Amino acid sequence: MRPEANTLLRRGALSLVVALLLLPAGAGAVCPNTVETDEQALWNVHNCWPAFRDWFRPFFNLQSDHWDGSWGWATCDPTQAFPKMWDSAYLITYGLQDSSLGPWHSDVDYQRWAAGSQHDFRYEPEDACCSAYATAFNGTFVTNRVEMDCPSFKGRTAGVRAGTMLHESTHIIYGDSFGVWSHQSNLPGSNCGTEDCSDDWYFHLLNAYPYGSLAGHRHSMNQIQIEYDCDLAEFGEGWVPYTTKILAQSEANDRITNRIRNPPGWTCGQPRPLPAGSANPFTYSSGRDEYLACWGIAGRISSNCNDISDLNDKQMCFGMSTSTQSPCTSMTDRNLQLACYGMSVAPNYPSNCNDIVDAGMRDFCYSVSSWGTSGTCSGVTSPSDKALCQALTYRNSSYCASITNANDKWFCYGTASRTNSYCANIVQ
Amino acid sequence: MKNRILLGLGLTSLFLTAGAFGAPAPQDRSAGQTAPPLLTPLFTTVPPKWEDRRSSSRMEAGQAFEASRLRQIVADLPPSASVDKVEVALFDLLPQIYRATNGDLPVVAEVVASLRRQPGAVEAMARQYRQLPAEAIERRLVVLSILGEMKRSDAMAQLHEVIWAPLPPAELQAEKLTARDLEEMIQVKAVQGLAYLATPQADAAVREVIEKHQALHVRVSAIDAYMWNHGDSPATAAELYRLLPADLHLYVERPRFQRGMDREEFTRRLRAWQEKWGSQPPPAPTSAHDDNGSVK
Repeated sequence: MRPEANTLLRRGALSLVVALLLLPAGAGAVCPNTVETDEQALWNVHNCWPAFRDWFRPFFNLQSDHWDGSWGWATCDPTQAFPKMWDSAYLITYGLQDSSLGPWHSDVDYQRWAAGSQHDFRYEPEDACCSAYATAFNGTFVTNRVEMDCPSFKGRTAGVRAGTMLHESTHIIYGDSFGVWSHQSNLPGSNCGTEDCSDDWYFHLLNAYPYGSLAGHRHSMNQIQIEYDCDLAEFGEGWVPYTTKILAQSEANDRITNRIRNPPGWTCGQPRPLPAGSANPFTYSSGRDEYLACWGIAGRISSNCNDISDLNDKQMCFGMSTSTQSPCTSMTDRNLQLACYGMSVAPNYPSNCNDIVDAGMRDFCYSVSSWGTSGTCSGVTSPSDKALCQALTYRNSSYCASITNANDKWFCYGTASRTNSYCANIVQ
Repeated sequence: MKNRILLGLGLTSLFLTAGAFGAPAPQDRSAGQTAPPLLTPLFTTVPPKWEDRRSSSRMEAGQAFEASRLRQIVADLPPSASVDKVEVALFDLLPQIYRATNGDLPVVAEVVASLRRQPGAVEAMARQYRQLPAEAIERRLVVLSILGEMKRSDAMAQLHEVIWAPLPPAELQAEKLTARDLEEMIQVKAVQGLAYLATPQADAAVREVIEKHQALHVRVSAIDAYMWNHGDSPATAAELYRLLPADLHLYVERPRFQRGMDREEFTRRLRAWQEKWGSQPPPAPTSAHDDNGSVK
């Protein structure tokens, strides 16, 4: 990350000659071997797939004389550095769902951007600590390379390490014969301290560069890292570890605020605590609330809704109980509000569900709001949630039998059959 | 620049020697041998098909996320389990959740929804959080995610404690994310949980963060969470414009880049934001290295 090559040149000819004679660095001590949960989880996905290893070594340009020995060139042990690079390369190569879903750039774009073979540099490990994840070197009189330092392999896992690779590659892609492309000065209050670590943002819209054509379109170091991290967080494949997603989202947003001089104008992902919450719009924070909601909805006695503690759950209860949309208006959770608009007046306006962001909840809403003509609960993955969805969609309480949680089962029986006596079984 | 010119002149005599250290070569599959510099790679740029990965790609026993086990752990809890009992369950539950993939998230959400009903769940989760080492950022984020997603007002004290914990000082020379950056990420996750409560008390607490927190990143994230939890309404935006100093106004109505978004709407909002607040940087340097690996 640091523009080390520039610094080196400034130190004078003697130190450069020494440096030239010493490069490439020989094998020595290695970074401490550790493994984080998501590093292991990702490793388990490909499980040391040799065909990929044989492809990524030359494409990203990792060479055995740098990565052998205790760096792990020949191992399938994800505590070692080389397998960790393997994990990151694997994520860059396969980790994004492209199609028309909408990441900023495609996996092919990111592969080419980070690949040493495409930009005349190689990756090397470096037993160095502690101020950088990696350091890029570029210029006429140095070996073009990215040194991956120990902080990249300890407490930092595959997804954000992949972001580091893209970041470092950018230093070199836009470098010149005198060195790498350096960071810009920091904003006041930056967390970087005295060293420059911030970048400009080269604004572009979605679809500005069709997938596969990113090369040649300027992005700063932090910018490409942010775009990748956010793409990984929001458009990662189903097998990508959840902790990878949550870290990538957190780091993308942190860098947007702390490492960019001219903010890009967007933020990464929803600010919901658990990014993919339950698909079921009828979840309650207490048995008491579920009990009251059941009496309200099943018996169509809206006064039961009055004492529900959670505002959204209370208004949903009023809407469902009175079959009117107006109570939904004051709900604060947008997804629940749209579900309320749709389900409260079923089977008339399932289009209210269109803009629900969560795919599972959207399907739940479509199904219940249309009584099965616009959805069949097939997108609701949890068996218990699906059973409730089907019971409400087809107004058939026999679906409720499979629900494992007793309270949820009685809620389902009551609301699907509109028989409030079931609600008495809910433990408060 | 002067130094660079002198240096360049002084090193002219070394040119031939230095050339030997020029472009690193892409490596052939015969590990251990360094190939001469080549402009045409000997390997394909197309990776093997993901579908062809070897059939043994499966997790070893004990390493896989087990949905049924996760559900069973929660189902085995009595309706109002003690804090201690919930905590014992969490010892089994959390390692499973740490192994979850994106595809497993609906199960995680289902389990969190069940945990939400347990009176002792918040305290048990808070205990787990306190036991995590500071450097376990990913696990701290996950536990705070669950704590926030439970949407329990009794979690406010714990979330408040995390949000207002003193931040490490900015480091003098730290190009990587600093300890301060990482702690800000943690505090942002706690703010998201606080805002998700969407109660008058929680809203007031979020507004306090927006106004008074020392970290810009925490403040702007609190703005985003406050907006999202109020349906991104114009009235909420107006409230924040009144509340905030002018230099924070640009953070009030930023569009969110997220799965499932309406791409046209995102683009429309981003364009509007740029017209109002955006600034363009100076031209970037031209790429010195093209996609063929040759130097321009």
